[in-house]
Amino acid sequence: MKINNKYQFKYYKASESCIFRKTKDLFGGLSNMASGFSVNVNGINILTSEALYQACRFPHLPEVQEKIFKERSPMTAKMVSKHFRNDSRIDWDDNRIKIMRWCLRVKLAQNFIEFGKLLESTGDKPIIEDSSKDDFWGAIRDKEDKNFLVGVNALGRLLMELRQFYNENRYSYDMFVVEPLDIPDFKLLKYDIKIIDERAKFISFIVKNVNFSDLDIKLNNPVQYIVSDNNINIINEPVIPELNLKSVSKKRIKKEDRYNGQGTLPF
Amino acid sequence: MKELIEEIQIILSDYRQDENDESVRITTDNILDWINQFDPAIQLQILTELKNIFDKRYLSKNRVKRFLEITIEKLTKDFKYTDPLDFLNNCNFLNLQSTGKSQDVMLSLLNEVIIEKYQISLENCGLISHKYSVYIDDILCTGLTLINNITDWSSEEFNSGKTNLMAVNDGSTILVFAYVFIHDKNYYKKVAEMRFKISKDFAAKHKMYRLLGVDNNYNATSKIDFVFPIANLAYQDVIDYKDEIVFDVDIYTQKYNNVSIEEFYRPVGLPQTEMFFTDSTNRVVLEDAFLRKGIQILKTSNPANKNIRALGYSIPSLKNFGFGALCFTWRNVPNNAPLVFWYAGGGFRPLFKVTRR
Repeated sequence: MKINNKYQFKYYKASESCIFRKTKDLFGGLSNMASGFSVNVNGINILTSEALYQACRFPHLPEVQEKIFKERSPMTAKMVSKHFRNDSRIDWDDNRIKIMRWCLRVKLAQNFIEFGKLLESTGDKPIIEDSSKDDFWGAIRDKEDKNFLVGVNALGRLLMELRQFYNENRYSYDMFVVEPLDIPDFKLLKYDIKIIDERAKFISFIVKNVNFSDLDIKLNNPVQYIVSDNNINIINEPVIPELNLKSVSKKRIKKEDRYNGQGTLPF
Repeated sequence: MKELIEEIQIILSDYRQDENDESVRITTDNILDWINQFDPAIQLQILTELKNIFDKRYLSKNRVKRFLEITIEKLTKDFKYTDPLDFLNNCNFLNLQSTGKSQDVMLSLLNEVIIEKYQISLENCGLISHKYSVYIDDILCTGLTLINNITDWSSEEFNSGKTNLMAVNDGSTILVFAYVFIHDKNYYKKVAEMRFKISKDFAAKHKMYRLLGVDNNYNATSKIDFVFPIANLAYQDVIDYKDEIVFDVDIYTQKYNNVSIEEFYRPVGLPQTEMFFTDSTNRVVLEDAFLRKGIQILKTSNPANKNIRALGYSIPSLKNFGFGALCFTWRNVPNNAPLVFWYAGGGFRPLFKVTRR
């Protein structure tokens, strides 16, 4: 295992943290391998964020990307990727964390209820991926004291960063709109990755769930023109006033570049 | 009571008068026979309210004719023409329903009106242009007919190279609806449906002209001028019927991963002031009677169609006893009105004889 001096190793106390390892665990949904958090990019349905992440290695090899998407399990998707690992995009090492961060943002935007709930359920505890081998994306249990894990825990830290983002930008424009990364060749199946915009889905979810049609809010409803024959028996109504609700201003919340707490990553 | 019956008969005297069949007209005997199907103790109250309902909500042929006259005048003015003939020359009256349906009837009446007043017949309207596409009908309850008709129409050809959808979107034609009665809640729902099913422009650019908009929401300011009973736990038959509906609707909505809220009973305290019925106690009596009689009718006749409810047809995803519509014309008693008005089955003799096509 190469210890890369660029990234800090940290010691985590298991008893004080939210740990995930297997996808069926309590916090298993935080794993990129977890099912039930599918994503859709450029119109392509992708079963797991793991598959999306792995596919981003090979923008120049669309056939490999397609192979990855066809796999029914994230494990086999990863195996496909492993096979072509030496053919990854040239700047992979420099961009993989950015790409992982982007994948997690997409996972949140497109699974805002369930993934949001999951992030919330971790409170403000450290989030750690418990791995037996990977001390970069995760952390490995200390042989002497199982209560400690050591590693860069990059995935855990990205999730903590995402948690903070979610808390500060709950239901905002930024939560539902994910712009593509500004790196060369950010493509899926030959096409540039398009902006992800889940705002409409969020609105219709709210409308449906609160039974909006019950409310007597005539948003943008047309005026009714009354044809009155001056017959007093029909109860003559005043013209229904049009509610002039100004459209909600798309005030973009300033992107906080700083995140407090353990989530901070130096890159 | 005899007087009341006579007064009601006078209001309803022109019901289906332009049909040759005398047996469909309403006589005082019919009304007496009908009311005798209800408990004698409440007959007077029901008749009192019925007279009031029909005073306000039964439109004779002459009144509908007058409505159409005024609508043409109003449209002429609103679209800045001085001569109605000029307007009519640029107007296409949509004929989207089959023969004998309400739109067909309304268009025949409209034809009479414009021949009398402007010496032009329907088929000679719109010869200069189809700048205005006018959809006329009598009653909008659920709005299903409207949305279905208009959705189909939108994909039809406006002129060569353009569909009606495009024509509305780019302003080549202005879509106008003209109804005698509409139910606000459903109209607005259909506007929202237009917005995402057809186009934003359909929803934003059409115009709705109507004689009366019934506010069938039920919030603090609603008048609740339709049949909407209050909860009465004493009636086991009502409770059983309610449970049946909940069961059926849940099965239906499961397909769409939805659960509907229960809207069976009028919220306590509404309407804040009774402005439609003459008396709030009478109102409760009438609503209960119509509901329970409707349930009884359904039990005996056991229709195959599950959408038929005691207070009229509803939408299969809604948990209510029926639409409860109280709008009538000389030719139309909508099936969204309580069954006691129009349903012939299970041995019950309805007040109005209707032919459903």
